[in-house]
Amino acid sequence: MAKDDHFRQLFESTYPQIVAYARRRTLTAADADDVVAEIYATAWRRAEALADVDVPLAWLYGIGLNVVRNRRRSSERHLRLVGEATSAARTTPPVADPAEAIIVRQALQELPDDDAELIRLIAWEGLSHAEAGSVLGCSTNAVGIRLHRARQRLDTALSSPLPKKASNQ
Amino acid sequence: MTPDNNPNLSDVRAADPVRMADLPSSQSPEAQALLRQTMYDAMPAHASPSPGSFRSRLPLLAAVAAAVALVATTFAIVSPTNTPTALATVKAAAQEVAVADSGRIVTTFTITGSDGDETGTAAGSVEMLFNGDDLAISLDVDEVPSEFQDEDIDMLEGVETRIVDGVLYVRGGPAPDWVAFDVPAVLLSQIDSVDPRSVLSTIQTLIEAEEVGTETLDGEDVIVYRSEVDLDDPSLSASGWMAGLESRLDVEADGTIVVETWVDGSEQLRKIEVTGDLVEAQDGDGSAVFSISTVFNDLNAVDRIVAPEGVVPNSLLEGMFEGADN
Repeated sequence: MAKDDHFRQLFESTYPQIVAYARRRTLTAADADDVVAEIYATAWRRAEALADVDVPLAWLYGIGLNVVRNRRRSSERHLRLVGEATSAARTTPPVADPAEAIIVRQALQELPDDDAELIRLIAWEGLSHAEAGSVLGCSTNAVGIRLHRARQRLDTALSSPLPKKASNQ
Repeated sequence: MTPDNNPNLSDVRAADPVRMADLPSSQSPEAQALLRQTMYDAMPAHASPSPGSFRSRLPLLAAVAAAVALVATTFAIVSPTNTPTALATVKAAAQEVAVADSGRIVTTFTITGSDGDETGTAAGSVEMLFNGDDLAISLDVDEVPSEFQDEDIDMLEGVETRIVDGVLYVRGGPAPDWVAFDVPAVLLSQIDSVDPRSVLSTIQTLIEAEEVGTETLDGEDVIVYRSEVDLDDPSLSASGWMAGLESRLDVEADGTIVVETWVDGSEQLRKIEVTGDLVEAQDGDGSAVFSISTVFNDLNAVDRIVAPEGVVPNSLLEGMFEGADN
């Protein structure tokens, strides 16, 4: 299959999931669009590697992980230095959330980034342990161990009445 | 919360802020436009790096050089010889530096690159002092690539950069006097991407290591850890990490990178040495051989960075950031 056809097939079979992935990890729809664009632009440049990829969606999530982290580091630094923290307010209204959903999302923000990301990959993206391991660059067994610890931390965070650290977002 | 067999994950699922039904399909006009841009322009316009002329790169050069070694360490991703204890030690040592309030980082480097028939070498050292968000970087170059040489001016002579309270100060090369700028957003993102502390943070998720022995460094016993990464390893591409890194560095490379890390008895990261022999993956025209050594000192012991005196109006460098995404 030609590179163009292969990539088009990848795009059309993964686009909604990648948009969802991006919107779950960004503050605004515009930010999410940028993340989606960067993920596919990177995938296009690396399209020849697709032949060796077992789960293309997990491969794209792996790219997305780096894209989101890089953007987050840059934006955090930017906000600190230019004092525009207030601009981080959401520009799109959040979906109507039941109170428990808000509590859970706040608890997720209390976790170390890696723990939160692992839980999101499993719970929101619906990945298997093996697929999450592919995204995070660790073994299936390691995912099981890390997930167990992450859930314990989440449990602790859910039991805590107040956030332990301020969110950067 | 209602506990069940998998209470936390079910709660998290219920807290998903995204409704798939609200999302556009791949057949939407926006998606099709993105697909066309990606396939035929290589990178969508709004996702492409901001254009940077040679001049606009000048004040960044010191920072870039200082962090090359640390960026390179992020290639140390999937070492088959990893051991959990070694990995934990290296991570903890890197984290000590990554979260330090202040410190001094000295990098010496030798990089030889070729692109087609042209070959260039850069060698020298970079000292970076940091205190909070403030940085002071000075560059001492022994060998300079021809593109940075002018008939009358050594473009890298005495290059110094400081960032103090969000203001960028630069001098060196064609501008021997200090010049001040309000830091453009595009520059902030570039500086952040090469800030050693940011890069060291990535070690928490990326690097794997094997203990290979002990040495004496500055009269103190230290443990040496080593990672060797073959960039041709298909598992790197399959993991997605490689593509993400190459996106950040805007290069596709094959070859081998060796990362060695020195950690002292207090589990402090003392030194990182990165050596590599890379070729451009796509057409093989470009190549680079490099050796970069970085030493970490004075953690949490560097006084605040102060703005330089005698700053001249920035009209001398007006237009330097022309076209940058501010």
